[in-house]
Amino acid sequence: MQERKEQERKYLFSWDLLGNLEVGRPNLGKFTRVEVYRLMQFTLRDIIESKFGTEEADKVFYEAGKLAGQFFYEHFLTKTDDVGEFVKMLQNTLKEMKIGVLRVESMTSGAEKITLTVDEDLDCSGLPEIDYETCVYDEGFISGLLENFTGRRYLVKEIDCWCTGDRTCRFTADMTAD
Amino acid sequence: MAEPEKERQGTALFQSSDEVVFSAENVDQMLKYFCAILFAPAPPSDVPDIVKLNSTTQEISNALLGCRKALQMAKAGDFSYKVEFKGFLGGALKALQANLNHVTWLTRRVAGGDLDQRMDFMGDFSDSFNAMVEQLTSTLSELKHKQEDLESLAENLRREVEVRKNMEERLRAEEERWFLAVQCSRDGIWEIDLETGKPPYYSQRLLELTGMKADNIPCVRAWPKLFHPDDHVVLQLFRKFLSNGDLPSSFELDHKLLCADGTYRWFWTRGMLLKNPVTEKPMRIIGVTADIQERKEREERFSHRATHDVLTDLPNRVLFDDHLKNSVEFAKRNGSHLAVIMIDLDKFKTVNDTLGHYAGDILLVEVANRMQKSIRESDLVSRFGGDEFAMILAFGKNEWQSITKALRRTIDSLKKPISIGDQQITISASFGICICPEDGDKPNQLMMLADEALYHAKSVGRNACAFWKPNKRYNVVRFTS
Repeated sequence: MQERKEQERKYLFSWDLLGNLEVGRPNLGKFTRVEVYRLMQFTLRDIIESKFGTEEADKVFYEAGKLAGQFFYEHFLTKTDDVGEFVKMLQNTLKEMKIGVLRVESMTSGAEKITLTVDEDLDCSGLPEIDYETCVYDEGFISGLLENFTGRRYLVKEIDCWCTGDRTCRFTADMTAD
Repeated sequence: MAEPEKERQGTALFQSSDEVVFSAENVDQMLKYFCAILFAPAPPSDVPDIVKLNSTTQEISNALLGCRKALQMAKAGDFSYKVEFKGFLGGALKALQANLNHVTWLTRRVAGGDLDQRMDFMGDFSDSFNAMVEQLTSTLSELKHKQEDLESLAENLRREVEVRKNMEERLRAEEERWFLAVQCSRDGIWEIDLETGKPPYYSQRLLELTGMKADNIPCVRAWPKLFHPDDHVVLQLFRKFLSNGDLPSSFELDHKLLCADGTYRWFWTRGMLLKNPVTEKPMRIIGVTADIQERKEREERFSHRATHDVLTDLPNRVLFDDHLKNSVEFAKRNGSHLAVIMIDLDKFKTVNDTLGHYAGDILLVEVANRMQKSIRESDLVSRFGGDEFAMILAFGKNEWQSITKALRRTIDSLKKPISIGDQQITISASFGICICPEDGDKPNQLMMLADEALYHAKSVGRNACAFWKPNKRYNVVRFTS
């Protein structure tokens, strides 16, 4: 797909676009049901795939997840250089926002290679087995978070997924040569 | 799938969709194979054909073998076995591996000092792990506080050591300065330790000044022997100290000290008493002693010169007046008497004019000697100047004769010729006498009356003695040449 220049864009993302929820939803509050989130994501994916094909749809979702991860890091996490503090902060935030239960399985000393799992994942936990990994948005989301934390690029891949019969989503994140 | 007929062993019981025939024998083989995977100590080495041929049994076999292998490795702490089969069992196994890997990672983080890590949603395991980390955090916090306390203590100790070190350096410098001062000082330094009873300290210079050796100096209690018996102030001070340890906080005095050569020399000593600040008990006496023998001798010379006639060495008018004043007071107190006698040598001017002043001086010295020898030690003869002399003779109530005797001795001594060079000179003298308290009891008055009597003795032709009497009725005794 052709990248568009910013001045030609109508929907260029900014945090302000999320709106003021305290003003806008004084009674209903910030939370909605997981089905609503999944409904929007999967219907969107359906249409994108139908218009642009599976590969492009996955790319769109990875990029969108990465953009979300970057904004999420900026607005919900505090900048730190300590990997332990970063993981702890991310675990707590994901848990409090009911996005998932993050657990780190392994990490090299310079965070070049990380294996992590997400239980009760917002995107996929409970989905029917469909024999392919489906958390492409999560992959992008995790890469966006890690890139903002380390300042380096990551390639994140889901290697186990609820949808492929595993009860936990496992991701590998590899720091790439920029 | 049709149920195999158990009773028909050896014949086909069932044919699967992939056309594999299950007989009683191979089903039995298959079950034994699966039992061996599940229960035998070692996995079976041979896979029965029936398992290989059928995809379902093959899948079950792979899952069981994978499960066995994964658990075997997990038992040894290795959670890296790649679980290839899907479904509940594979998912649960992977979740178990993931959780245990997570625990390993968390434990490693905690071991590395990251005590903020916690475990979520793993039941009692999470609770126990988190409790352990919290306990560890608490213990480490306590240890940290204790370490801070220890560091603070160590810092205080280091400062204390630094202070003591500086103090020691200052003390060493002070000691060196003190040592050099003692070495350079012309005065002797000494110290008596009253608390420990250690032998006193004497500087080398003090030993040099007294000629003593450290070994020969008597103990402190015997020190009074070193002072002159006439040094009452020193002796009194020392005896007081020896009897009850009482001493002024500082003292300074001139005193004589018996030196090694057996002579007494004058010394100046300044001492200071140091008391224990808590008990107020005397701890040490430290002092300086200087040899002032020469100064004392010089002072004595000056003092003698101020009170004695330079030519004859007789007491001069100053000493005479002082003696007269004291004698009058004594006589008044004790009811005794004294005679005040003014004496002029007759025609002494002629000696000077004819024989010269040198001869006159020789004559004056000889006259002075003779007068001095004529009187008692308690009496006084003085030269006022020129040929004028004066005497004070003390005597008791009934000793009138002693005055006459002294006078007679004086007159007789003067009668003898005096040799000046090769000449023999004879000289006479006139005497004016008044008696205290009969004639007066004031020094000036007595001097005036004696002078009046002398004037009268000279007026009647000299070589006479006139006793003052009221209304100018002098008693005159004329001497024969």
